[in-house]
Amino acid sequence: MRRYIGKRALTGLLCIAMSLCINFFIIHAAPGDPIRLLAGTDTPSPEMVEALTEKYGLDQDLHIQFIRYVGNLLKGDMGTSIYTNEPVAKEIMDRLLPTILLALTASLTALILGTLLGIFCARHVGSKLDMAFGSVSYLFDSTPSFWLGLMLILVFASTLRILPTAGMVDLRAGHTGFAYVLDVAKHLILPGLSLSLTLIPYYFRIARSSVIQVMNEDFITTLRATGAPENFIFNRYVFRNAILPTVTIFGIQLAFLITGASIVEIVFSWPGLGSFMMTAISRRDYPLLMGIYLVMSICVAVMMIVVDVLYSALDPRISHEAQK
Amino acid sequence: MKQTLKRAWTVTLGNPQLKIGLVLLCILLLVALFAPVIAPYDPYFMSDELVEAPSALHPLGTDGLGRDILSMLIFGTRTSLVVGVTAAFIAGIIGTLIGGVAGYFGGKVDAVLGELINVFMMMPTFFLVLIVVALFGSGLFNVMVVMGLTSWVSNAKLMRAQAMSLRQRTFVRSAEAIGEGRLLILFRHVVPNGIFPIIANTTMGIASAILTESSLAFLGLGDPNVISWGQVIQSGKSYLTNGWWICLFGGLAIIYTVVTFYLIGDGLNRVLSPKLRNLGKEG
Repeated sequence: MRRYIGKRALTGLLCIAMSLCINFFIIHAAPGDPIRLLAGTDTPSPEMVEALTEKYGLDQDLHIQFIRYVGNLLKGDMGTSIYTNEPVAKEIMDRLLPTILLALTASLTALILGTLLGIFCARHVGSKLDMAFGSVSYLFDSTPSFWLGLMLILVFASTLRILPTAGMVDLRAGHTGFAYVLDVAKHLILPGLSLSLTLIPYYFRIARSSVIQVMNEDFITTLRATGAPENFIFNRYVFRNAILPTVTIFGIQLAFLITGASIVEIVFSWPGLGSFMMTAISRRDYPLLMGIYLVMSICVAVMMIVVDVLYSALDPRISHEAQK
Repeated sequence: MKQTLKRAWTVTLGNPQLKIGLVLLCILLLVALFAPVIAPYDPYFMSDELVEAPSALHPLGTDGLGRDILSMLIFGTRTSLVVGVTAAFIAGIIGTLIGGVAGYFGGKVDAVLGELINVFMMMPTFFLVLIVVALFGSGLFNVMVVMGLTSWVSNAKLMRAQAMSLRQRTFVRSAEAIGEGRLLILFRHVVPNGIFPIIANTTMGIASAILTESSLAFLGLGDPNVISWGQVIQSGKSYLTNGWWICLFGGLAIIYTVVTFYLIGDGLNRVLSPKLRNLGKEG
């Protein structure tokens, strides 16, 4: 078990290191002079050029520059945003929480609904409802979440006028305490819905096929032969075995949703990392851009490791296999 | 050979996903091929009728610049298909090569390449694509190549598993015994025999590449010189309340195409895995 965690952690570290290299490489390979990219202007003042050259060691060899870049990062210095002149690390931290809130809500909703639907269909394989849910799952799987968001805005916000379409809180109302939480929840409905509706098909299919698979296993047949009631068999044996793949998918989905939520964030002006990233792109704020990418990579890597470890704790077969 | 084709035809007809998917694909290809003939207007032509609701003159209405939506969607088919197929094809080739080499050679090569696959699995690739396109320009070529370079991981995983199991099979061992070169064995025996899951996965890859391309275009990072569905939706975003048709039909076009490739990919998966191997043996 410990060896397994170590192995996954190593992969995670490698992944973060690779993101670092890609970050560094992109900034140096991008068309144009890195000083201009970092300064954010085509005509930087001589003092600015000097300061940036000094900070990033731009007059040195490439490998020394790389070491200095990593050194700055290890000190927690991710650079300064060109536009706001604030440290990048601080700006990113402010935006991370809304993204996690949105991703987590959408994932959990999709997990619960998708799994329940999947189990239902697996227990009624071949029924009309099973076929109907199966077809609908194809449709939602193919729907771009940003388009779904726009359509939800059209129906619920522009026509019915019952839900807010932008932001995370109503700034004019200035809610505090419980009213604040309620307000955030209200703003969360539409972006959460457009994300989770496109995620439900995954959980639906995984849950359906894994329940069907477990129900056909020999030990279930044996149990049936002993005359155990079907519901007892399902709750006690099928469910526990069939739920495992869903857990892995949940973790992987959640990890990638931190980045995948970005486009929905933009549709709903949700103040998370994704919409921040687009602002950074449109302002050509490269230090900020690189910082966001790095933080995203770290988040994804950490979450994937946590999932793997959780999974191997839930299913001892995995960690045994890894030790072989 | 003739018999194999005949069997392939019956298998295709027996699988509803594949059947529906192929019919939908044929329609799509015809639209893309005959776009200039079918489209009622030049998709770039800006008329005086701005944000017109669907009518007999403009079946799907016009956008904020007075362009005919139907014509834009018809020409957008070409962009989506080219981007999707090229990106998925690049990903398929890279995945097959990396996975094949890792699985067949094993040992230290596999340790390195396998770890590379694991590392890439953890990468937030959509953001990588976003950054590269934002920095290096959003020409269609850039978009396709970057998407291909970042989405090969699932193919590599599949091919690696295939190659690992094929390595143990008698015909590969015999080839090794008579002294064929290892690279030759890899490309002549291992890859052709293990390619089926990659074909199915690449078809799914076309679907996700089309989705990614439309997301990029929606974010304003698509190629500004070609018409694409994501771009149509982006232009319709500001007219959402008084011109709902711009966004609505753009999205429906994307869903149609993505469903097509999902259906074909899923159908291929079901058909290819156990049955086509028998087909190959008998034919």
